[in-house]
Amino acid sequence: MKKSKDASQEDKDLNYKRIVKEQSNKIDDLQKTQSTLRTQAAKNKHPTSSIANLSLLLLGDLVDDCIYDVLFDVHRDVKQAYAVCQICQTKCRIHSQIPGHDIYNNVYNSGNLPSFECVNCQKMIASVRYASHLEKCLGLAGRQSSRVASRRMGSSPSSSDYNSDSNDNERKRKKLPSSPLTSGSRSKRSRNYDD
Amino acid sequence: MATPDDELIAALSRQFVNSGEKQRLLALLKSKLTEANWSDAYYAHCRTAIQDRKDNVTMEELIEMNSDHGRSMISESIKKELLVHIKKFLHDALVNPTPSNEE
Repeated sequence: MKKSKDASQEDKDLNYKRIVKEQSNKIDDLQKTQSTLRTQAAKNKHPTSSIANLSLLLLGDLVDDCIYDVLFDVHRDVKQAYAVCQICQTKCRIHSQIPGHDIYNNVYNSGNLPSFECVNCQKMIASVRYASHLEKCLGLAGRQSSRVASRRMGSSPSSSDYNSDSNDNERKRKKLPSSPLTSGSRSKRSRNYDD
Repeated sequence: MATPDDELIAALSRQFVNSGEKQRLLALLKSKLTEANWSDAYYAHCRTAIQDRKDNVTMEELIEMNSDHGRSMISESIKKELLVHIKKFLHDALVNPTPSNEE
């Protein structure tokens, strides 16, 4: 126990020393720049019109523009949030805009996702996995799931066409195009044209 | 301050705007700031800073409270890039003085 304590204490000391070193380097740099600026200013007759000063002025203008943009947005959003909306006469514009939260201030990690009951198998599934689970459950996703689903439902797969959606690239079409389904639909179609 | 300085500064800013350089650099700066997530972070900071005030915050108060923090939040690399562009513009403007509004 004591050894681990010493080790963590040593780490903290090393960290502290590193931080102190960085900060003192920063202070040295700033002091150097300050002294060079002072000597430069003493040399220049017109200190306000050096290129460095002018460029800093222009940069300040550009940055101020960007800052005022953000502040205008903040001000407008806050004002609208606390004012009564003119359309519905209630305070409907209060929403949170914190990054990572939704507008009602909910945070969804993998831990607390809302889950819903599958309409087919009545299991509780998390919302992000609901669609893919339902696909597999109803046998609409691929070869495996249609086999599993048909076994569960105890009937032959009624939609053999759905298989080809996902398996087109995998196997060549060994089925003849004139399967009982398509020929049936063809005859139906020809009947419609005759009428 | 000597007047020729002020005139020089005024003429340079006029040329900055008229040549379209200011608009171009402003668009560049805005895109860099959004890319670096500065806009959203600054917005979130301002919202949290005035949460307890609830209402009747004026623009002047906002500016006074938050503009310094906003300026410090911009990363040094973005500022340096912009300064490079501005210095190039100033160099060109001073080397080739265009007769701006004196005609």
